[in-house]
Amino acid sequence: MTPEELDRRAGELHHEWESPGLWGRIERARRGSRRWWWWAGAGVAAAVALGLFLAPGPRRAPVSAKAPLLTEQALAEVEEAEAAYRKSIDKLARVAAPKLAGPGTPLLRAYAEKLAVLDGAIGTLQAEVARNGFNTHLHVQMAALYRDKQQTLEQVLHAQ
Amino acid sequence: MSGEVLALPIDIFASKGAPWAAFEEVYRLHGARLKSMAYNLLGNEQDAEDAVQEAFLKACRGTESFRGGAAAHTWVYRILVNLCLDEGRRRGRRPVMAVDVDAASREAGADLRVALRQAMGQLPVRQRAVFLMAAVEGLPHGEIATILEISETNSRTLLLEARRQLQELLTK
Repeated sequence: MTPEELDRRAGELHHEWESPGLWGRIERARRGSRRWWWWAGAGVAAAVALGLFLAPGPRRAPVSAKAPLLTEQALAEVEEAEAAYRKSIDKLARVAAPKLAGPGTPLLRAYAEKLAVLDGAIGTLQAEVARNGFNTHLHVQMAALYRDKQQTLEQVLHAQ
Repeated sequence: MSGEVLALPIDIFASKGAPWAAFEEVYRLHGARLKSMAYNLLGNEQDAEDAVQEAFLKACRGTESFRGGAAAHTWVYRILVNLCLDEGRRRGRRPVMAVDVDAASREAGADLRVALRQAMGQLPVRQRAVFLMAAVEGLPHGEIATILEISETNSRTLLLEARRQLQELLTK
């Protein structure tokens, strides 16, 4: 086979066929995989919060003792930052509220359910923080939950 | 296929907040070529479509590791090539051997194409990838170099070596 013939034959290996449903399939798979991550994340967050809430007092005390403790000054700053974060998330929630009031699509319904789970986890964790405000881990978990809620609200705003 | 579309850079960071729209554009412009590449590496249309789907999902999930400066389509091409080559290794056989020979042989001049596919399967991985992208799909060396993270000179050298080996294999 000459080099020219080789090149010509190679070009003929290009193969095209119609796949009218392929992009739709890719989009559905993407949505499905994202939803799986949301629920997994929300489930872990809820489990962590529930675990902290249900853990018996005597067992919790040593854990708290070992956990890094915030100083008074640092705690004040953390609480200030959390309050500001909460405020901005509340603003975002107000903007997203009309879309969530009567979610018309399965996607928006899934967001609404996820937000309800997150709110439940945040409430549980807030109760724990009220009892043990100096525990750094609790504030880290709280920040993660707020971040998740913020991202979910942003996704609601971008959802069709 | 013209090489014109390849010159269109789609930087996913330029469409911040909606990178998926950039991927949709990549699919619109490059979908046929991506499918063809996967077909030639995996051997059938169904596997090729599955690989293209997986490449887009991986590209979407991996936007954080995407390097700015490259275009979104080269990112998808790179993932697809790696996926197909991994799949070939996982199967433990030369991927091109799985081409639907019955369907191919119904066309005129199919013998040489089948022989060429089989010969391609015997090339080292990088030579095979470069030959496929350059000679079959018509990608310029600049694009191939970006996709495979090699230099343009290296891409040209690999193509020359692939051609030489294929000629040897096909004249045996």
